[in-house]
Amino acid sequence: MLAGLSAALEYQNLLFLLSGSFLGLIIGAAPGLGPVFGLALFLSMTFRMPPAGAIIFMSSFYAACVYGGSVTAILLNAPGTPGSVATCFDGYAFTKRGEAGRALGISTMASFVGGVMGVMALLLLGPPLAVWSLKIGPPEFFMLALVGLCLVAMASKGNTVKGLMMSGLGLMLSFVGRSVVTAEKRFLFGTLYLEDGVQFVPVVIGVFAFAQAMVLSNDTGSISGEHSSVSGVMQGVKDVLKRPFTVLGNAAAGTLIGILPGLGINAANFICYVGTKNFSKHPEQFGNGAVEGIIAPEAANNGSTTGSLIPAFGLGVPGSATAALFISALMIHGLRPGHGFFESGDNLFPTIIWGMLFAQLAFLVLGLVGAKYFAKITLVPNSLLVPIILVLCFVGSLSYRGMFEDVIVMVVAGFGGYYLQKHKYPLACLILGMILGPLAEDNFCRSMRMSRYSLKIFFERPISLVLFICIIIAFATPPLRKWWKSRKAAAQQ
Amino acid sequence: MEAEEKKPVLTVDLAITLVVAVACVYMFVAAREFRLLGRLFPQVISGVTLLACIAQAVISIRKSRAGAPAKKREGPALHNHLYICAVSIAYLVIMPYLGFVIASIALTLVIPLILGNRNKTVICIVGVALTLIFYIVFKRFFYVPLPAGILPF
Repeated sequence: MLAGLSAALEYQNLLFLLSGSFLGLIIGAAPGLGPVFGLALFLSMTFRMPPAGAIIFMSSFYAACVYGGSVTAILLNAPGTPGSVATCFDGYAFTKRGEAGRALGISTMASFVGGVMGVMALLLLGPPLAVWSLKIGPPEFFMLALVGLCLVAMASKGNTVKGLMMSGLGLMLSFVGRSVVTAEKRFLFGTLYLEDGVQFVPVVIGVFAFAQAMVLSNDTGSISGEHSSVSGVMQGVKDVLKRPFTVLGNAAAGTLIGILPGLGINAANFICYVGTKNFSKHPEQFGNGAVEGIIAPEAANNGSTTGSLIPAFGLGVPGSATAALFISALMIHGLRPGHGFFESGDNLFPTIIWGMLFAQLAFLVLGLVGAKYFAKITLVPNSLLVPIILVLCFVGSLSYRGMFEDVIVMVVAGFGGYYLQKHKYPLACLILGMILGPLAEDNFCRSMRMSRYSLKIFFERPISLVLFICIIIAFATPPLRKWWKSRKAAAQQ
Repeated sequence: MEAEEKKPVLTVDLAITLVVAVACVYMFVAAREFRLLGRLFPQVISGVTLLACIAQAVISIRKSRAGAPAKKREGPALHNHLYICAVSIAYLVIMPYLGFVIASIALTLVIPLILGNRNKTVICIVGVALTLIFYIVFKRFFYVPLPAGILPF
């Protein structure tokens, strides 16, 4: 490890690290671009880098990109990456009450802890976790999707009917397109565009960023008004350090979710946000500026970024497009993913681990130093901010696949999102429905084919059975608790 | 005695519920032609969502009949976001023909004026500068296919 440390501290690797972090922060902050876009763009640049330098550049870019998405999520209610959607709910609430600096401090520190935990998991548990992830098959993924849908039900407590409507709408949107299992074209309305389905990124940009521009247009002045504070950054850091269980728990959960191929940072940040809200002593504070409402998604999404590299490096199984790009980079440099990667000679793996740790440190420093400058955007008058957000929305949607139809989807989603938000329809349920729909349906159909249409498969596999029992316990616990309390009260009387 | 003010039954809430309900009915009916595995989830989910829509519609109608306090009219706010939407649609329509640069400069000049900003110098400088920065960064550095339109680049 010491030899790896000295290799990671070579000036060349430090340069790759800093440039990756800087570029990642910028691309992550721009809605619609995201880590896949950036890594695909810069992959060719890594061809001439040494292997360790290439992986250090890519991982520092990836980590900073995922963190960068939270900057615009907090300041403008416009998530830069889909992995920062849940951060909008509480991050923007902080900004509206003039505490943008504090929110950025919370996000930066939580992202740092999440990222470090992911790197530690890769270092200490890489090979066994990679093998364990192979045991997760379609029945387990379906049960995980059910767990996610249960969290939706919990997230819409107090607004259950509207929550059900939104999650149903999100699920319905995910069914549009060519079915992965049966290959049937469903609900295409005669267009070729919808064969790939309703794309998640333009919908997220529309529902959050475009809708936010419409909200800001109704308000003269600036986002945070006169009572803006750009100086609460260290207060935000302390807020995270005062909640070690929350940040470490969500970082661990995010890392585990990242290890599971196919779930990704979209699912990680939402599941952890909704789970933390459900188990919080003050769930009513979520959505109105709760510190935990920023810690949970940010620790989770940065934990899942490195977690997703565990099956990629350990087995050569890419769980996401980003992981696939990492595998491409490894293979271009003559490295083979697998057990050999973890035990390769010439200190390659320790160097990469140290590089990844320094990458977390790099965006921590960039984020904390830059936070008060980023936060100044909330002082820009809305009349100038709205056109900037709109142009970014259009460019972001266009950059996703280069298709103009994505921009139209973005505008329609934005228009709908504005009215949904205004009438208190929970958008978290809509987004979670869109994420979990394909996961639930595809894995259910695969499980049915594996078991020749028998539901027993969900109860015969141990992990699937355990997840099913967890769902039952989660639903049964609140009424049982209520019954127990009323019995206790009656007995005391 | 003054006549009681009639409260509209068709509120925006109810309109949203109706739109979602129509989508549910369409999906349920259209899914009949698919094979079992292809129609199972769409029909189950659209069915459950339709039930939720019916429940929400009942809640909305009851609320409006029970005489919920009338909301204050938004005045200028109501118009602003609709103007933004209209300008955005116009931007979408003209961009393929005029190109990203010209369309974006027009957008960044028009919107501040709609929103009441009368400092024309700042509007022009910010609009032109930002458009060019976005163009250079996204088209030249990130290779995003922004339409050129009538300009040669």
